[in-house]
Amino acid sequence: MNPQPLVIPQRLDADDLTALKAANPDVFLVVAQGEVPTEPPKANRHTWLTVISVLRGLLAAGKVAGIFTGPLIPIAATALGVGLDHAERAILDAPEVEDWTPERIAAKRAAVADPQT
Amino acid sequence: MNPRGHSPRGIGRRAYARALPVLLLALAVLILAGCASGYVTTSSGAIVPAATVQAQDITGDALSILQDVHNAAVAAHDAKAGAEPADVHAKRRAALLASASGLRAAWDGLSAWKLGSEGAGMAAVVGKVRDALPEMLDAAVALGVVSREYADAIGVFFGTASQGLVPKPLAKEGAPR
Repeated sequence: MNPQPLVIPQRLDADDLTALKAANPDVFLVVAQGEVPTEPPKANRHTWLTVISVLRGLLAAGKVAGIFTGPLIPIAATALGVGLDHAERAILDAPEVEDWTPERIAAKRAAVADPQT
Repeated sequence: MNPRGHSPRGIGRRAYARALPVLLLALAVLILAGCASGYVTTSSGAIVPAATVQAQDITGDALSILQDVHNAAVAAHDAKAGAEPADVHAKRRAALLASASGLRAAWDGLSAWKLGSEGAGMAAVVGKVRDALPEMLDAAVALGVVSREYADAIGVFFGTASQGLVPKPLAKEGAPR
């Protein structure tokens, strides 16, 4: 089996590199030239949005087929529809990328003004 | 009994039985998806729960708005040099120096939170600037930088956040809330 490659940042010093190699004998270490590219954001919201969409479809089909009969089920189905809307909103509002990166925070901090008089 | 030999009670029971799995499944989805879901790969490479990133973004946005108010108050304050009693000017200067210091500490706190330092969080971050807020906001209102209503909204946001609760995101003045 080929050793698993691992890209490590250039900023690690020699001692850290030695320690890292000793701790991971089965890992092939590659020192990055420049910054290590980060992975794209994990986008699992689409899965949830699909599930919500399917549930909405089931609800609509259930209403058409007349499954939701009786005193409580129609009310529950309506409440569920509202809940699904709420869940969809919550998922869409959740971030997939961070707005405030360390660089942006540092820039904003540097722009704090002090009174001169 | 209906013409097909089923009693109304039996039909209702079957309807419940058919609808119940859908309802339970939907309930499970609501529980799982009721808050910010999933993970975000941040610029540092760390994979962080989306809810945490959302709280950090809300905090950063609020600090940014607060800093805009602070900086505008500082500019208005400096423009009043020599045009108002020295003690009034000195008192406001002290308030603005305190809020500048608090803002820098809060930004440092947000950085620490993003780096995963222990004890960091929204309450800890806003707590660093909250003590300096009342005087700075009063000064900003007196200088005509913001309305009293908006200054109160900022105060409520930071008051709520300092108690460990996640407040509604703070909008810029004039923006729809």
